[in-house]
Amino acid sequence: MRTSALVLLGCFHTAACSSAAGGGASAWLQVDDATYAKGALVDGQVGPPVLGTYARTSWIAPGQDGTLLNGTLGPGATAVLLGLTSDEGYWILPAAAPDTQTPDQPRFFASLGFSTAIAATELQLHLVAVDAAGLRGPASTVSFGVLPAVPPSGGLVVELAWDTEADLDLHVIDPLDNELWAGDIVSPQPDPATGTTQGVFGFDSNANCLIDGKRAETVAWSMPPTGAFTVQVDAYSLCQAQAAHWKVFVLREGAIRMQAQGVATPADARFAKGRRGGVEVLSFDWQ
Amino acid sequence: MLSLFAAGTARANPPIPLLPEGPAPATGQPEVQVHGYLQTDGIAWAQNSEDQLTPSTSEPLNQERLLIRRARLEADVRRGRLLGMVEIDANTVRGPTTGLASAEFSYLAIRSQPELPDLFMASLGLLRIPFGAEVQERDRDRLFLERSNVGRALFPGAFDLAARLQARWRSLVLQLAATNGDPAGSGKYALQNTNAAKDLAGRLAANIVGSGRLRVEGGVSFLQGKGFHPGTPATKEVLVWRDQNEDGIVQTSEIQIIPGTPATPSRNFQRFAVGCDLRLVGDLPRLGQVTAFGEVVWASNLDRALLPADPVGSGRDLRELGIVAGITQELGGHLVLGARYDWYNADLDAAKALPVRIVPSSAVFSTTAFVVAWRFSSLDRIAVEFDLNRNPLGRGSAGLPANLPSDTLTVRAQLAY
Repeated sequence: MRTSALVLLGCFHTAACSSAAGGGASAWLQVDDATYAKGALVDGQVGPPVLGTYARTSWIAPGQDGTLLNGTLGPGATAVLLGLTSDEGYWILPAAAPDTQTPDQPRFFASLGFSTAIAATELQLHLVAVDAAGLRGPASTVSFGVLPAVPPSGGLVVELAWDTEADLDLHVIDPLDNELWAGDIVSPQPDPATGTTQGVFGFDSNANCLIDGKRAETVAWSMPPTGAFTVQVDAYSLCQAQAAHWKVFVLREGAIRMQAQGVATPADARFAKGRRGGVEVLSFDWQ
Repeated sequence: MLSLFAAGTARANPPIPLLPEGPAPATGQPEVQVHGYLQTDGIAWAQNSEDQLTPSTSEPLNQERLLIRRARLEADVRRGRLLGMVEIDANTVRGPTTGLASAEFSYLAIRSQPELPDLFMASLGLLRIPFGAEVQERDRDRLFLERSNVGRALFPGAFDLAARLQARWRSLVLQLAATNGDPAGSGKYALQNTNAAKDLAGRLAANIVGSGRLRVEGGVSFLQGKGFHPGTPATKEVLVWRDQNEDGIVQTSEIQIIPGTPATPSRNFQRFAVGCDLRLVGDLPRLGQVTAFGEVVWASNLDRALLPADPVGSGRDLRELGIVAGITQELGGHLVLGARYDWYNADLDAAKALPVRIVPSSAVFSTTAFVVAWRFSSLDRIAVEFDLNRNPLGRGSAGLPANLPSDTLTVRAQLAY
């Protein structure tokens, strides 16, 4: 349970209101190019105000990154502090140059990221401007609605997820012996009389150790063929990681019906890659 | 060599590494000794050897080779009650490397009153972790070439940065240590410290000399601490082109924008281990010493090498169980025979944790080792060992998990100096 909160009381110097900075990885809010400070975000009354804010969206999803928030600050502001209610810390973002139309009002451009651990339906983002003397102004608040987590859509979805920045590959073999993986992302067009649809491979995550942070791959069908499916997991490379703990989920209409899990070690990376690569982790009959 | 470690070095299977057995050190000029040993291996046959490179890391898969397994140089200094020791290791296991094997500073106190602990020792440095009998055994004293699967999984390098207390009273020895928790050989963060919590490890051992020619040594051990699940850094947006139809032409359907992701935090998790060990040593007329030994370790989330345990990534605790049993027999003054079986399950709940079959369907590693050694002196010997290995790391022709054939035949020459 997070216990810290925005304290709307007078506080006249940044150093007096926060503890030592940390990495901020465990905070709900993450801000690019900003410095993290632990502790409650405290505003003041004598510092410069936040004059205006503009967010491109009022809805965010847990795990989303790159949400843009711009704004203008009162004269003399050198930075803006950003923090969520109930978060464990806040961020210090230096102010940018003012617009030529308003040369005494510094601006700020924030790129916000939101943790996958967010468990709220609405977030209150507080912004406090601060000047060179450390004097803080009154808080301004922006609200974001939190979209519920949406499982991968499709009648049948097979998802592989893992925990370290390794290159793992999902292979799914359908009842017609079509293999869907990074090398074959769409299964052949089925006979229309069967009423089934093509399977689609989602995205080859961390391919060749080009880290994208998704650490997940999916194969999905709207109307899958009936019969036996086989799921394989291939450790293409561990990308310097000691191991990768993976899980495979089988979802029907968004609900998890089966799952398997295991550990990929450097020993798994020694085998040949490509079609039918990997080790079989589960099989199931789709009716 | 200081008397501190002298006990047991004259036999193939030394007893529990006890504390100094000599008289209280006299003050005066420091006593400095330099010594070491060399182990050169020739792997005559390795079942998993190929004249290829690992696809992902380009490391050679060939195992049939000559290598320097351990070349150790140790310097000891003793100045009154103060002891210091530094041990350097060089080897060619993954190419030529040199590093610190152990280093310790100790304060030693010896008493003569029988009702008090007759010896007390406080140490600080890169120390042997006080858990189990096998971890305590020096590499040069062990007849078998390497430690068992469970020993290598839970304590990959046997050494960690620690503060340790040792006390001996009559036949009992108590060892307690607070360690960083990232021992040598434990991967990316070995001998660093990923969390502020310290692992607490300890061992209580007894060395009982029975009537006749039988000696019994045994101990119980524990470890309690916190492991570390590494977080992941934030990623930026990435524009990716995958040539799905392999025509070499960029098409809009082949371009994807992968949004950036926020960082995920690192987390700590609880881990523990308990173990017990027993060793029976007897002297057979005309033949020599016979030694039977066994050890059992039960742990949770402690595997740091074979199948690294991470309950955060796995979503559940991983319980481990390891068993080691063996026997050695001297035949005359030079020849020694030995056999050892070890069984290690890295995930006791693998089969019942989920409603469907998981991979690996078995997390059991086992090794049956047979060794024949010819000793030129107490520590100089040539040993031939055959290891019959079983593991869940291979794949069958149908893609199902299977044993990865990895039996080996190794010749080792050891010389101490």
